[in-house]
Amino acid sequence: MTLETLLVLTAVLTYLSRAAAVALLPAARGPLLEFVGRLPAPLFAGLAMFALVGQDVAIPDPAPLAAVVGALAATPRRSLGVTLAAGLAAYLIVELVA
Amino acid sequence: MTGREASGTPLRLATVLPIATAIGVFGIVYGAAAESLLGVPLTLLSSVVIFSGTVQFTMVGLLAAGSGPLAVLWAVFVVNVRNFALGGVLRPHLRGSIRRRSLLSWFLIDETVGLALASPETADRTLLRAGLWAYGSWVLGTAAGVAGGATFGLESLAAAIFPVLFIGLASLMVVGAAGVARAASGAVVTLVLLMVWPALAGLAPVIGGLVAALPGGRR
Repeated sequence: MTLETLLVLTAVLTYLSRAAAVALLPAARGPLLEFVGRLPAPLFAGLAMFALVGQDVAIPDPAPLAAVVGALAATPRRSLGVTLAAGLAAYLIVELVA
Repeated sequence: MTGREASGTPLRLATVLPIATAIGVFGIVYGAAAESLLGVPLTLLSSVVIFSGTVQFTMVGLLAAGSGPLAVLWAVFVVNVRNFALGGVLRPHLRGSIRRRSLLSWFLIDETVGLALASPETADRTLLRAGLWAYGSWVLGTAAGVAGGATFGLESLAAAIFPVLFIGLASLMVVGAAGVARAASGAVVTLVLLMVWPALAGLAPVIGGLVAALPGGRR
């Protein structure tokens, strides 16, 4: 198999999984809809953990860790902009101090 | 009440710009890493036709390790399973025909799904707008990477943006104390899964999310 073919097959697999999920499969209803409604918060919390520690569960550097602490501290505001700003500010403070 | 209804943050440039920048930085890293393996034309083509950092880094990593094409395709399939969870969450918020949703599905990545769920604008519009930013950043970043672009130590900052983004998105989706507990459970289960079975990689947060969202307790 050539690299070109591999790329094309990879692209097709990736797109089909996306299209199947939002266009081909029926929308959730009833109990499944309730379940799907509960899914986003833990899913994004899990993604945050994965983005922080990585596949090998490495201990994060101080600055990214500070960014996470800053973001968590800002979550009661329930504003994506404020959370991003708090995280970035904490990151920059630790980078400057370190 | 869904997370989208519970939240109220419109998609602003100030929100999408740091995310697009971080995606661009990772595009540079990908372009620089893949160029020696795929060559310039195929590296650029891969970002244009695949548009998935997770898939592309997995593909290049396996090829660099000497894996065969079938192993690569199997890994790509496994990594893409997470799209069913993301799409399943987003699907009830999307309107329009199958054709329209098929076109929009091109932009289905973690970041755009989160923004689409969090924005009070229609999910379709947010997915399109955020997706265009993300796609443009990814392709341009890849081009800069193959051209020898340097990130000047921005990888650390870019890496820090993603957990911050996902924490912000999770906080918008949380409803009540039970929701906080579920979110925390999702993070803890993900961590445990990664410690026990690192090969799960990007599937770990999906499984963690699914486990934490199972019926039980109060929403």
